[in-house]
Amino acid sequence: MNVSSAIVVVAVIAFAAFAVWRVLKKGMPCECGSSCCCGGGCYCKDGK
Amino acid sequence: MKLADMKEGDRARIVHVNGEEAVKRHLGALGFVAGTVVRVVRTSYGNMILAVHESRIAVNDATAADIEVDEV
Amino acid sequence: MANSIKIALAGNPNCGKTTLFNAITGSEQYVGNWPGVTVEKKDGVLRGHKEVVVQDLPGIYSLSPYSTEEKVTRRFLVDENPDAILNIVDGTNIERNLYLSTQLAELGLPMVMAVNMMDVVKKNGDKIDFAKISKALRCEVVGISALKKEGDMEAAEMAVALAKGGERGTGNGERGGGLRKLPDVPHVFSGSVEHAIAHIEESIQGKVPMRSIRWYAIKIFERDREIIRDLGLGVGDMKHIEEHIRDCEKELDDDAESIITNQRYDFIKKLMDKSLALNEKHKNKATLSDRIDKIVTHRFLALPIFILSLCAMWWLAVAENGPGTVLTDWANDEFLADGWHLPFTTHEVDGKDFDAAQEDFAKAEATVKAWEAGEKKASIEDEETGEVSDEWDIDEAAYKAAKEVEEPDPSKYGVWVPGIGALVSAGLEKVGVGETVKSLVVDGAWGGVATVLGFVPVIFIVFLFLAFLEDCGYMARVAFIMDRLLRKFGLSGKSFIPMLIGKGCGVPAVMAARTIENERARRMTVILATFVPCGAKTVIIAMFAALFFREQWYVAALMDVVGIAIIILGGIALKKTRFFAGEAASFVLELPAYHMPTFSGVWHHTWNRLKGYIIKAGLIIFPACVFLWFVMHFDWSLTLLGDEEIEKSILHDLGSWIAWFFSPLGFGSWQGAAASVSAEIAKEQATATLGLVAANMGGATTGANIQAFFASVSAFPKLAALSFMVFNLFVPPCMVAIAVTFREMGSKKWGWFAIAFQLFVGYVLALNAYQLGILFAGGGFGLWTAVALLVDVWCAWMVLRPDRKGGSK
Repeated sequence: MNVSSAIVVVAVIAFAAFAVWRVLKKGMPCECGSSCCCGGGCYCKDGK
Repeated sequence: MKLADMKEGDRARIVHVNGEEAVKRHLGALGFVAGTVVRVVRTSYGNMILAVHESRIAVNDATAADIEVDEV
Repeated sequence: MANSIKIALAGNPNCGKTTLFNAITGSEQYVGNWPGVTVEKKDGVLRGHKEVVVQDLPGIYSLSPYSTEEKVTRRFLVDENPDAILNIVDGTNIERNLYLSTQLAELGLPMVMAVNMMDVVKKNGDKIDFAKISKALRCEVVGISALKKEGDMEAAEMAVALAKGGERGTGNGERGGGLRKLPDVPHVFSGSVEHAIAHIEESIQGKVPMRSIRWYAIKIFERDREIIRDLGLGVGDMKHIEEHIRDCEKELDDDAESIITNQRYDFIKKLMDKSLALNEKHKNKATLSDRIDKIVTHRFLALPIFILSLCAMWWLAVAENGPGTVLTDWANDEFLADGWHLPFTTHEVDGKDFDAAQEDFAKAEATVKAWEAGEKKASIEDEETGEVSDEWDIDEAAYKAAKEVEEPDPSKYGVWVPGIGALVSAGLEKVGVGETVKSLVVDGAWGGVATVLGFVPVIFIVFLFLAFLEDCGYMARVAFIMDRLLRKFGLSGKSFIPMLIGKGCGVPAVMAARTIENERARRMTVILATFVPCGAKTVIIAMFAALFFREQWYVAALMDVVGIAIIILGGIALKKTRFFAGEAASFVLELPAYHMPTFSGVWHHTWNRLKGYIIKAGLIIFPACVFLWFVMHFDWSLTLLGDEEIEKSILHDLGSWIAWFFSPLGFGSWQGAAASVSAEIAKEQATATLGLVAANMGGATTGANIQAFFASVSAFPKLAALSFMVFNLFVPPCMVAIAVTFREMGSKKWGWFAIAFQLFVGYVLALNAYQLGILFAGGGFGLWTAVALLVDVWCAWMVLRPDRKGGSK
């Protein structure tokens, strides 16, 4: 694998990991409409 | 008589509200108190839309049966 | 901010409070219309007054401690000491609104009452005497029109001034220094009740802030459990108070709470007699809302009208030539893929437009290919259906000429915008990335996300339509209509509200079941709430409509109808079991007057939902697809596999282990299994996964691949596709919604029951779609057809059997 490939792979995995971390921390982004999904804004964390 | 017995277009004066505490309280806050006159806007298989003051409140037949009224 | 002033915004639901909040804070909050769900306190900074914070409280009818909204509002007003209250009152519905106002006034805080919708009041020719109301309620009263932005800032600034001055307002304000002096609050009640209240005030002096002592006393008179507990009033204290209360109850022959409620309305009536002059012409005449309701809640027309509006929505969203499909096709085939021409910039080159030039090139390619393969005829096949659309003879001359034809350069035919997919692909090539890594990005990560994003136009239209219906007030009528229908079968319309909410997202729908007091009804609602397809499920519908049901757009609408049907039939069946039998609950719902939704209101409503979905694509779909790509391209010993070796991959093995489960449904392959299971992360992931696993089908587009995939797993691809769609729509929802289900049920047993029920329903429906579909398509009767029919009979019996004699509540 050449350098640019490696960079791309690392970037992709890093972003994926970041996304997962964010969801675990802040909760799942909900489609809020007339109501907010859950107690705290548009993020649902284990249904809180 | 019961509010449930009224027909479309009738006006009725509330005498007393029966039923569960929570429902009574909610109805009370909405204006269903002794002395208030309500008008039946629509009945539909037992459910009713009532004009209470200037608002429109929908109730089902079970709830309407819990409200005692006098016809006006 | 050190010295920030807090203004509390309080009022009934539907009084225009949030519109006002947006106007005075420059905020973009959207209006929640459903009782029991908007329990958010939102705050914002008052325009032009950096030190003033405006707190928008949930709409409530009263300050009792029973519903979540009331509790939130009460807590704020009582515990967090706002500096002033801005009470919004709907001028077209004043009496009912004043019920809350009297209570707010009793808190003793500086208060401004803003009578909203004055534009409508004036138009009706009604007159309201603000001065008299001000005197009676001991607060400032002004008229505003939040919609037209008239008087809104002034009302807010008046509240700020009062807050700063620490005064109560007009009406012989007796405050100003001296804690000993009682605040100036309205005296709403009659002799003996006032007497009792005075006694109670004496007993609690010192335990509560002086300015609110009257409010507390009244609450205690009403036997408000929370207040009594918060003040630490023991049995001894209460004994004395109880005597007074009981004396009143005996004298007035009613219970304390009812006495208070009745007397409040008496007071309001007397006040209105003096200060409200309704225009005789419109008094008691049907309003426009009434006239619309005459049709919309008509006993025969109501349901058809509702179904028609659903159909209108789906037609716009997925019909072949409708806006939704046009935009989605553009998104999927052009914007996100290779590219597109800006409209109005296309022109011809050499007498041919771009499409014609592409056709010529395709023919040339086919000629070359055929000749080099030794054929004497060349043909063009439709990528998706395999149909041969053109066939011609070739010879060496034709071959030589064909070799000369160049691929048309799109930028010569107009302003060409390269598609994102093409850009990504080209970009990667430019930096010299290897084929495998390119595949990871283009087929895996980007490919999956693109699949899902391509359907944004469809869900945009659905959300827009729903937002419009909700904001104009129609949805409340739907709840009423459905209640009538549901009630016929022993269910309640109150349960239906969460389901309407479910059309956006299942999570708030399940949570909204909290508003149902009856435990059994609540449980049943939690189980049934997610059968109405949510936003994510709409993506699945959108994809399948585009790939398999273009001419049958009504299949999409059918999914909503099926969802509702399950709710009704499922509810009936559950009600007949001993766990759910019981009486029908009460149902009380305010029907707000119809009003034309504002463009910005609908837009924000829609955009908020859409935004969440797009963010979800980046945060959930993206990593999921990356993960799937890896398990598709590596085997158990973590060796990278070639394109042809997908059968050795981890995903293939995992999928194959459970593929048998899906066989009777028509998609019993490792791909079908993988897609269905991945849908539990997020329902729309099913579409992305399908795109990934079908990538080696050799089609020109992801869509073509998926069509080819279904053709490869079943002799009846359309039915298999239908079955797949139905399965994923009606089995248990995504993980988050499942988590909420367990939470709202409060017990693992009931949580699992809900899951089992939903799995059963989804499976049986898909089974029926596939097996009975085959039967009707002439494919013959098999073992599973028989199974499907037997299960149907059992289900029918569960629904139709005689009622149990109702159990206890």
